Amino acid sequence: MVIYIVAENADRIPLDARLLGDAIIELNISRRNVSIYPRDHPSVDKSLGRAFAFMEKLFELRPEITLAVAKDTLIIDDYYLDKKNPVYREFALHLSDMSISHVTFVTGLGKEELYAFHRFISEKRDSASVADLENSFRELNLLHIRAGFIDYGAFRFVEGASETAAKDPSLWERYVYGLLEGTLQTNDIADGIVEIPPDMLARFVNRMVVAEHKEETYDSVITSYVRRSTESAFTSRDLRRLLDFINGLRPELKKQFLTSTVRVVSKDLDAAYKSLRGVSVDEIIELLGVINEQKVVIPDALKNLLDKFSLLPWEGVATPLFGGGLLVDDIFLSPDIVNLLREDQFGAFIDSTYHKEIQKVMAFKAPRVGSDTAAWEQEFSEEAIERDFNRAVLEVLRSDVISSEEYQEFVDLMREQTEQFVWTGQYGRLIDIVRLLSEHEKDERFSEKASEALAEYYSDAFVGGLIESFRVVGRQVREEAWKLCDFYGERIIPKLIDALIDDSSQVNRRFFIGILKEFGDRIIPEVLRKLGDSRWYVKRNMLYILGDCQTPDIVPHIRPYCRHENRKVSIEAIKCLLNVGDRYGIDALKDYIRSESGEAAREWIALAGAYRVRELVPDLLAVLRKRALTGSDLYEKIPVVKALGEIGDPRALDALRDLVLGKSILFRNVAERVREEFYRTLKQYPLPSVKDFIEAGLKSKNKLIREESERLSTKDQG
Amino acid sequence: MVRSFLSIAMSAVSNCSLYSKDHASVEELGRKAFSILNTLLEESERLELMIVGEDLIVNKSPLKDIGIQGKNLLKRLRKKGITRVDILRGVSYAEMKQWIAGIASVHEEIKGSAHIKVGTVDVRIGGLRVDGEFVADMAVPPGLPSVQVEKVKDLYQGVSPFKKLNMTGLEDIVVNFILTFKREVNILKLISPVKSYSEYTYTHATNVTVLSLFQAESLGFKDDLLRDIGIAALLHDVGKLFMSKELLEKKVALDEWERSEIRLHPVYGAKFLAKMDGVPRLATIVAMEHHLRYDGTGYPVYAMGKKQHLCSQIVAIADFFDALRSQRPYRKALEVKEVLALIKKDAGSAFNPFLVDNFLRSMQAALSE
Repeated sequence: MVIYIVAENADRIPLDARLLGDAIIELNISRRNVSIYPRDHPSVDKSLGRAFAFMEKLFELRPEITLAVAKDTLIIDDYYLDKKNPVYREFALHLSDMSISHVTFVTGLGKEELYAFHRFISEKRDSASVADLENSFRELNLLHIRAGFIDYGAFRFVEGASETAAKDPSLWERYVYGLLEGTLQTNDIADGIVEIPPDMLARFVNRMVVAEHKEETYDSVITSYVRRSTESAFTSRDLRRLLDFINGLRPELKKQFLTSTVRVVSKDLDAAYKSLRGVSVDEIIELLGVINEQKVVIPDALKNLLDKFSLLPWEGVATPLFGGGLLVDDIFLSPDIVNLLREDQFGAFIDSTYHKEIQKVMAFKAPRVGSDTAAWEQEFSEEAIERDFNRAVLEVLRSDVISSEEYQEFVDLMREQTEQFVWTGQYGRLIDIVRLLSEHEKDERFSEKASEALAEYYSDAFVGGLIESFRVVGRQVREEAWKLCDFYGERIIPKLIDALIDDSSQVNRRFFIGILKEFGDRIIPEVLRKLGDSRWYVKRNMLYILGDCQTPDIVPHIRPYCRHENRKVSIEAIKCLLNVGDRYGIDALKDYIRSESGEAAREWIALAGAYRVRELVPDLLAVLRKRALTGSDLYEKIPVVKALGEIGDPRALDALRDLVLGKSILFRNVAERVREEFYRTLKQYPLPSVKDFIEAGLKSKNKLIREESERLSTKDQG
Repeated sequence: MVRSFLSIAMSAVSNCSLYSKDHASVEELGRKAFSILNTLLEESERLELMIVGEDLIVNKSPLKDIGIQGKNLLKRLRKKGITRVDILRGVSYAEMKQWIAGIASVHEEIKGSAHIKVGTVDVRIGGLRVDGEFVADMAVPPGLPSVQVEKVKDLYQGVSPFKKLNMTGLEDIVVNFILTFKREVNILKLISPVKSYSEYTYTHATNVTVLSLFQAESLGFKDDLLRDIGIAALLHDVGKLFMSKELLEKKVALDEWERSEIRLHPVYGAKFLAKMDGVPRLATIVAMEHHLRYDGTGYPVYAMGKKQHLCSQIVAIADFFDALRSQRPYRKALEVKEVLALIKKDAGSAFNPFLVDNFLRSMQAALSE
């Protein structure tokens, strides 16, 4: 059974442990100094000297001093040094950080060795493996300091198991305990005696050769088997298991193990007292019965304790009082706190009626209300909690109750949160953070710290990360993404443009273009700069983005691209100019319509139609009037008919009348397609000017033509 | 590279939790994580993730500075009772996606698969040398109740609580809380100053916890959520630690300046709790918001506006009830019916009407028994 040493019980610490406690304080001071100052600094020498002197005193008592480390706790022999002592804790954590599970200082230790050891445990080696650390330590060749490193192989994988509360704080302690006892298993043979059913363990022990085992072995089994009692109160169940185990043993072993049990329990009567409070009277009487039966000698103190409990009515889990104080687990509550818990004190605030009400509330099993708990659980999700936590932190930062150090602490905390917000598309949180920092940058209070933090949020690396997140989650939270970009403003535009240029995904490119277009005229300087890029698609995309900019300032920059060798570039350039109503664009388009043919011509004609460029009606009509010698020639007129329809200029109707209403003998199918195209766009022309088309269409056998005509006819009559 | 894998995988988990497991961002991040994972598995046959205490051990070496995403992974795995995950070479994307969805899901278990093994960590300790025959005997039947399960039971009995332990008075609740919190995190050190500063604050905190858990249980909250709500309720007034004793125990009504001072306690509380490692973040939120009102008014005023968190709404009702049912130096306690009537009157303005309805019904039922 492990004995916890708490500060209140200082008189029970063995002399070497107390001395060692002081020595650890000195060791920690010297460690700190070694980590800060060079070897020749007076503080280093002085503190090393003091630590060394303490170690010398310890060596007078023992030739070797071994400190075991259970994460944040130092253990000497069986004693846990006060966990609440910050110095012990700090020293323990430094050793744990280096994956050291135990360290032994041996007589003959020199100051330089101590210095080298301090250097070793003070170094930052975040990415070093345990094996690396072990090797580094070995290379130091310290003759009088031995270090053992954590063997994670001893942590067994229990596949498929789960613990509803997998928060066992004792894992480290158990590891070190096993280490100290020499019972730590790093292979698959032993799975921990505590897991073995009592009868099975008894069967095993019965098969052992008695001569092989000494007193310590029995103690070891008992302590292992009732290990649970080191962590919390010894329960009735534990005792039942123990009794079952002992009852299953051979007679000669029964006595041995019972003696061992008594010995183990007697080591710490306070702990035994605590533990026995949780055990029923019947169980204690049974234990006493077995002890008497086996004629095991019990120390008087334990006997008295067992007698006392065997006479008491069982009260379940209760708490013992000591000198007016209350011992709860290993927490000692001072008498004034206990006083608070007394009924009469309670009445100062809580009258007896309310007290009863609270009791009723506690005893009442409230029926579940029919409600949408799934929605509520969403509010309690990690992400939602993190978001609200962030908002609370921001409000704390806005308040007047924080110091400069706290400000920095919270800024660091938010920096940690930021990554999560970025990758989950919670850009609103990010805006609030940066907005607050920007406000504080202008204030006097935390200007410098806010400025430093802001620099990070505006850094290339961070903005680059934002852009990366846009590729992943941007589309799903487009509005928030845009708000963030709007907030970052000109700072983010170049990165967005680069992302647009580099991204191979059409979907992502569309997203980036959409965001860039939202910037409106703010985008112009950067886009004009990128227009000089030699790649045609970059030019095309930049011109596409400029297409929504209405300022005439961009015109001179765009005109040259109207005659670009790549048609995709020139189309975008002309679109830009058409948007701002620049004549140069119309002229360029006119030239293309006149000179090009085939696919290219179709694109230019479509552009004229889409932009409803009335100035180009004569040119389109010229194309329309070209004689169709083949079906293909006639087919080429379809886009022209469509473009003219989109423009809806009545000047085109005469030419169209010939084409649409005339009888066609040749290429009847194509001619019908031309007619259909015309009727599709008929509604674009002024109604009075197309009446004859409507009348003719009403008589048509073509369903599409007839329906379009009926629609327009109804409209005309209405 | 392991950090990178964990970070991206956890981002996928977060997106899965925020949106859905089929959301495009989950797919995108999942694929990225999978690609990194495969690179890792080219070097080593398996990626072993193990939680020991607060540490994440990767391939038998501790991973330092795991960041918020690493901590998030630890927290989520622990909630699911998992402390060990082994990902083996040959793992498919579907397996990894299922693992991600399992971590993200509130209710579903994390299922193991052919190449992703999940389980717990235990320390191998033996007290004896064993012979070969015994090794065969060691094949303990599955499902054997272990010490861990007992611990879990103890923990839950400690947290959700009171009826199962057949407590006889508030003293026991206080002790029970102390025991509970001692197991969770050393919260005792947070509340003990409150106890010594103002006894009322402590008894009030205890009652508010009882009343909050009472509501939360009736709403169907359980396990970890219930525990977090309890802790948040217990610590809701911890900011009063920073108020002067004279102010807290003043026997006459407070003047304007004193009121403004008292109104700072949510901010002090939130500041205090936000910095504490191991305290559920919900506690910070509730400490900050418990004087906000359902309609968005109240204090402290959030610069960007803020809807009160459901847990804060629960605690606000409990807080109000206990404050008016308790005697203060300057006034007597109100009768329970009067307090309930006042709560009902403020439904929709100060309090969430649904929660009020639930509270009134449950209280009336409890008190009529």
